[in-house]
Amino acid sequence: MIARLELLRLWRSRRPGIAVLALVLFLVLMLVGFYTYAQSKTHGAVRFEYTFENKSYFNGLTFALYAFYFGFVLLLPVFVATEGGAQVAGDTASGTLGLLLARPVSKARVFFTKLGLAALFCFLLVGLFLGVSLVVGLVAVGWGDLALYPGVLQMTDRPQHLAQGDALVRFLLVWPAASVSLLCPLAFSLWISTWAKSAVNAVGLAVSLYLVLYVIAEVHFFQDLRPWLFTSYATWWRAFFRERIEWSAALRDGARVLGFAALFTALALRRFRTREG
Amino acid sequence: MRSGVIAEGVLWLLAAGLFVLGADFGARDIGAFEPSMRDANVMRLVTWNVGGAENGVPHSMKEEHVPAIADALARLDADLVFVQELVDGAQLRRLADALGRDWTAWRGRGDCGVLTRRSDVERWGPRRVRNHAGVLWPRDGRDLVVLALHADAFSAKERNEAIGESHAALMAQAGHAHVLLGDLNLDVDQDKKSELFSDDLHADVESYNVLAATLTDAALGKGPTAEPDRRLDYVFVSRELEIVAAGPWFGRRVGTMDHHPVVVDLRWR
Repeated sequence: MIARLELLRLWRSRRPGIAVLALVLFLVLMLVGFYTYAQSKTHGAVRFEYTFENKSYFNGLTFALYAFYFGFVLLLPVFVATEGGAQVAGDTASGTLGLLLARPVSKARVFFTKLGLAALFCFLLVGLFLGVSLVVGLVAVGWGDLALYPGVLQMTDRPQHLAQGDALVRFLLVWPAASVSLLCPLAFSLWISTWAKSAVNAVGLAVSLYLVLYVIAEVHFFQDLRPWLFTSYATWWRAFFRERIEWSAALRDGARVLGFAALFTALALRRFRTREG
Repeated sequence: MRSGVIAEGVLWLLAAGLFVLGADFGARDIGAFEPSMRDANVMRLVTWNVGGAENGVPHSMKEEHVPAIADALARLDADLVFVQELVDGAQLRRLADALGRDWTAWRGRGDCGVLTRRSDVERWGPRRVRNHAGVLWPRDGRDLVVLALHADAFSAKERNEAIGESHAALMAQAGHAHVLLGDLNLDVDQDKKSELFSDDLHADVESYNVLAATLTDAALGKGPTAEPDRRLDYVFVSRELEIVAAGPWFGRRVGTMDHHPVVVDLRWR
């Protein structure tokens, strides 16, 4: 009953539709960027005389990977943090939470229903984004093998090559892995949401804190801080695009991501359980 | 209420368990180079930018650093030493004198120089590249071609052209194996935001990859070679050579020097 109600409210909030529209717009802009770049590489203004690139370097799989990478680090966490931030704080502000808890239902159940639906939303959003990126890549750019080079997206430290079929399997593996990554900003924003009385404040704080932590984790001068930030492991799914997947390192990073997600969820549940109203 | 307490307890335990699973208890040994005795068939090459920076201003090799540099090179007992950021040929000769009478030295183009005790080493180098020093070394009946380069520190496009021309000239030179080394002034290592240091990261990525496509980056994963925490000095070797050991030798730079010597031990396959 609660799950159906929450699902209906999520749909009516229009947040999923806005997220999908923004991601589609992002893909369109990426596609324009790919075409203008390709044009500049082939019609003059080419200074790189010793390029490693060749005609088959940029293809649909490269497009999908670039689009997903940048979308993942800059867009998806914002939508996810918005979802988490709006959950409890939004209901508190509108008084819906008080009405919900007036029913014979435990706070824990309400909490986990909200978290579960938001997590499902993350999983579907990641899958949709990956799928649409691949389809757009296939239709607009054309497929081929996936070549990766050191320095590009920080994916590899040596030149590597994945055959098309192998690369598609890796994209499939990345779907659940990237979804798991997003559980961290989701649980983090849910925790903030349990403290806030306004959805706008909760979302604003969650998104800005995520961006601060992401920037700190990216700049390698702060390497001593990195192990303690969940954003350091956000793109652990990149391990699945290596020629030889280092499973022990990948699973270790995956455990850290889930550890942070469990930690923030525990903090959020504690606050939700013990607060008044 | 009770179910919430239990769920919270489970979450705390889960978080603790996952962090333990994710902890890396392995020793952090990146395998940097430590000089050791080597077999007679192993060739040792060194590249070292012996300049530095003081209060943010770069400088060439300082006279006061010569004894420490000579001491480190004497301990390495390398076959071929390539140095960058020399003031002039006289300074290079003073460094050779500090190493001993049996060492000879010559300048390449620009601020690069070569030091060796091998009498059969010949000079070589492409005309178009500004800062370089190259050698041809007949060893065990085969010819090793080596080119050391000091690429531009401030322009990625200058680096791109110098590296491309050096690579093309090196591979065109007849020999059984090829080595390109030196201070390439580019850093495309994983896990770093390299665009903070480059005016054109794309050009640097291309520069690195044109080398990596045909040669092996011998000191890959062995740590930074320069301050602050940057990998700027490289040794790229062709497939005919087996890399016995390679990496920066830490703890050798003194005073305001900002690079570590990068050492590679090689033998014919």
